[in-house]
Amino acid sequence: MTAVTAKTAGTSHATLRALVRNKLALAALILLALFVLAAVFAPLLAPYDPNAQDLLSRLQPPGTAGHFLGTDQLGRDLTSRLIYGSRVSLLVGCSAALLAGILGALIGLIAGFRGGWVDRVLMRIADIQLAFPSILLALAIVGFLGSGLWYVILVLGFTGWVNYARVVRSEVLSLRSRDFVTEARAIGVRSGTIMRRHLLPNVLAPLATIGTLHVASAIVAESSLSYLGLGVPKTTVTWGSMLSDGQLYLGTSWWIAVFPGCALMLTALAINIAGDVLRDVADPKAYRR
Amino acid sequence: MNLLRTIAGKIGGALLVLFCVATVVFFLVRISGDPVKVLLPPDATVAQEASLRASLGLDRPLFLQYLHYLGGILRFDFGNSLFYDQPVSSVLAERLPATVELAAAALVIALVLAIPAGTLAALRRGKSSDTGVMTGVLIGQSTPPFWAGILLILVFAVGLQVLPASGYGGIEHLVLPSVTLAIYSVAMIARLLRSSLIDVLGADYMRTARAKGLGELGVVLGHGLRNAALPVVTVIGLEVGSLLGGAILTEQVFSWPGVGRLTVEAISNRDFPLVQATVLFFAATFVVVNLLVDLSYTFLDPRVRVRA
Amino acid sequence: MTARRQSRRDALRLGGLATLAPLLGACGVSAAEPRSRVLRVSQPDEAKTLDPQKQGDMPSMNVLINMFDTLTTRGTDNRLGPGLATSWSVLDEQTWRFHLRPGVRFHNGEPCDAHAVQYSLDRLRDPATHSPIVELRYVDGATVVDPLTVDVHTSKHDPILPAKVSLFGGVAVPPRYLDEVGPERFARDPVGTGPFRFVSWQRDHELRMRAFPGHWSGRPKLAELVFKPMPNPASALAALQSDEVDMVTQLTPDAARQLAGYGGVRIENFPGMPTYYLSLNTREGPLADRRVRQALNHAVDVPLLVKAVLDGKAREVPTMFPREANGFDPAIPAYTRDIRRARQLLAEAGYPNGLDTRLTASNADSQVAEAIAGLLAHAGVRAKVTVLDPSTYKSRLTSSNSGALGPIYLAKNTGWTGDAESLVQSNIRHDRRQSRWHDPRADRLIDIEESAVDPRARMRAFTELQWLLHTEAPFVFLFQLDNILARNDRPRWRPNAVGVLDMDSAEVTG
Repeated sequence: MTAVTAKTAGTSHATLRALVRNKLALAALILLALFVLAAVFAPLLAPYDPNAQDLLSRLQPPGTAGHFLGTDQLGRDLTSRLIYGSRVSLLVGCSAALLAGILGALIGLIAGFRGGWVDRVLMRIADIQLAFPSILLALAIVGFLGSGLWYVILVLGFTGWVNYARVVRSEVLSLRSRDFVTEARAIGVRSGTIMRRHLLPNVLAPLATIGTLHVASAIVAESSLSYLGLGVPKTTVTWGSMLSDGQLYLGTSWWIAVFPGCALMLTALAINIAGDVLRDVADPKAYRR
Repeated sequence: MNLLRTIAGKIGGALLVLFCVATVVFFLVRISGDPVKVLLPPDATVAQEASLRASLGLDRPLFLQYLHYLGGILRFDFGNSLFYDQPVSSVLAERLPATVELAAAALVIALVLAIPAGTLAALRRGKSSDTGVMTGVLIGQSTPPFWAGILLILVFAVGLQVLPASGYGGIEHLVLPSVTLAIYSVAMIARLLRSSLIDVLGADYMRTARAKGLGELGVVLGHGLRNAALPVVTVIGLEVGSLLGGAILTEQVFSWPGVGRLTVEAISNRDFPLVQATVLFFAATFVVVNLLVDLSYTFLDPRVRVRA
Repeated sequence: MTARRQSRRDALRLGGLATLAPLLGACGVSAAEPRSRVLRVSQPDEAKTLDPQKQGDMPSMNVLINMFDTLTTRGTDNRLGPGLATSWSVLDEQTWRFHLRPGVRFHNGEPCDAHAVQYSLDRLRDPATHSPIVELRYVDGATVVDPLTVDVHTSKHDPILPAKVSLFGGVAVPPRYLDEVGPERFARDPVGTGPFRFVSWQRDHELRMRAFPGHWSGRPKLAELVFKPMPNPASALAALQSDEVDMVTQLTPDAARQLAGYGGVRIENFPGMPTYYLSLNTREGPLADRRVRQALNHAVDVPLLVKAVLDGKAREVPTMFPREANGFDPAIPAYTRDIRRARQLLAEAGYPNGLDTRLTASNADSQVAEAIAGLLAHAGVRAKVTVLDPSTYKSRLTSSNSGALGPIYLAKNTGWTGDAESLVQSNIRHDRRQSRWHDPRADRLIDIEESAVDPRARMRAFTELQWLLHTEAPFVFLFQLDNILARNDRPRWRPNAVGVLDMDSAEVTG
């Protein structure tokens, strides 16, 4: 995401105009900003310590005095946990997507542009990577190193790069023979420059699309890992672990899973909408229409 | 002649990938833990552990085990599951039909929903039907799969009581799991088809087609979809992998007796031979599908030439 | 005719699979079996295998206990009773003699005699069987005295061997059938002596059995018994409500809570044996100080934990012995839950501001672990909770490094044999792998209860041991969990404290 934003800085003016025109996108961005603010100022906003238990008032429904969104299975305040949860979820989501995006874009660009054996080797590695259930990789890493926030980011980053690489590569493959690339080559522009100047801007649109998806899916994947006991320690609140904890209580105490589930969906939705707008603006071909 | 050599090269590459996967999984699974510790209750003594380890052949030098394993693969012999104490092939064969059924149903649902939705959105770009489709797509993409599955169970099985909550058997058992599994792919494919079609609809050859007097629908169906298919087919190829992978969570939620659940079980039991076989199974499926996708490039996009 | 067709359709619907029809016919099951005599039971997990000597997990035992018999049994009164053996006695320090029940036959007609028992014990001990059953570690072999008498030899006196063979260590498998069909086929198409005989198994879908009229305890009251695995409580509830199952078993208190309050669903809980405790690493750090360990015991408010988190479906235990275990002494008091006393003890030990530590648990018990951390926090003990997947947890639990699970971990003991020995065999004596305590007095008491021939000497050792545990507090003592099930109005059944789903005594109505 950050890479995309930086690269499209030149078109920020257009982005802004597009945003104002599109009310949905504006709403999404405001929502996203709210989540980020909640993450940054969590200690100021949360009414309670997110881990403070009150075993005698567990599973209280929303609207209970003192607990706006109710309490969870250990009597912890759901509002506070939701606010604190945004921290880890956004951090894991963005870091993993960033790591995977940089890795994937690089590999995809090189593979698509260089072609030949470089392409074949890189795509074989991608195939091997894709063919592996990431849960196995996660188990091996945790079994070997231990569990923690940074391991989760590493696992998600290193298992998520392939989508970027494959799509970037297939874009580059069809761009390679386009006029502006062949001309640049003909006048002796260096490969690195061609990749940076001509190819990268053109693959940013699909990158942004996948990147936005990946932030959301990384947040969800974190929940799966937490669910398997491979995620971050229990004392760190994440929407993912709230969701899997609340899964059991959906029948009677729906709020435990529904609120973090909604937060997760809204965040992903906001990121996706923002990504769409970026795509339309960043896509040079879109200007023509 | 040239084409044959290309295909042979690609098949060789695919085999190489499978060999690498087989090797990596062999060593990776051995890093992840000790099956003897998982097989025996915590009260077992060190001597009992040693005796079981020896009788399972896990005390032999790693390299010998590796050679034995590779030799077995060549004969399609994946050894005995440590946990079930049965040939891996029969354990796998028992679970395979369920997963194939689930993945196929999900892929069909995904295509049936995604192609019209994506096309509609691209044609009516910026109109309310586009916004509607895209909102649906975005919501689909933003829903955690196991949460979606549980919500579906609550609505259709617990609430309305029209579909079974879990189990394997008739078509009614297939509905909720395959819809759950398809949600993400529908969104992914519809979104990609839309953006790809939008690109294509603005391209020169499309203008030519229109100029030739073809109706808009004819243009879209005849030229647009065909040309927009390239990135979409790539994604579907990739999606087969994630469909099989996504089956893991879905199978868990719906107690679906497939390979996905078996894989999770095998990994968590550190059942080396079974993990190796299931991972190789996923890898082989993935490699074969993508080989086909790769070859279909030749027919879908004249700009990409298959290089010898 | 119409009625018959109707019930046939019902039977098919119960099967959930029309394709099963020819199979059922082929096996000779009357498809018109009145629904009133079919019991459908769900449990969270699927049986691992149907070979009773290649399993030791609850889901497999639950299924197999209905198809196989063991030498001794533990009834709903939790007393050790006769099974395939009608009586047993100590012949000498290294030999137990079992007298077998006459006239017992396997489902295929093969006699179950001393030879079959000897064969079964030999097969269990054969490394090629890869059996995970470890209780019979002292058994050296068995000899046939006469067709109804078998001597079991041990390397040292094993006072609770008869209790151990109430589990699958004491199962009888059919020698002739096994030799004929081999182990793989046996695991798919098992033949036992139990009250039900195998009909069909679709893994992860359902396992069907039907009554074996020739069982030595008389014909079971049920005609058919069906097991269905349902990992998800929401699915289990739906299945119960839509009449796909009659009984949902092995529920956790929170899962039971999800099922409660719906029409036609009854929740029942019965005394259970699984006992939870915190293992403390007394060999290093603050926990080496007895006062700190006592402070932790005062700090964890177990009655509150049971009431609030476990919905009252558990009982506080004074030490780590559940009430039903042979050796439990009711005279030993539980710790008073007193935060002030806990803080005072911590201050005396040099921690007036409390202390920071870590608490590890398997993710199956994460909620209890988190709640305990919350309770400890009231006394100033700040425990960071880490949960591990069950396999990693188990590997570290049995690792040679006794600190692999950190200073404090949540552990659970099922006490299968019903004798206190199995609750303390791996975690007390200083040279056992899960022990993190070194006290010569405790070691001596373990030696007595593990080898004394006189049962009264064993009981005295257990009593002394419980007092020692109470004063030295090498663990934090928690609770024993109930067996919880949900059912509709049809079945009537009661589990014993071990909680295995032995359905011989079950009845259904309507």
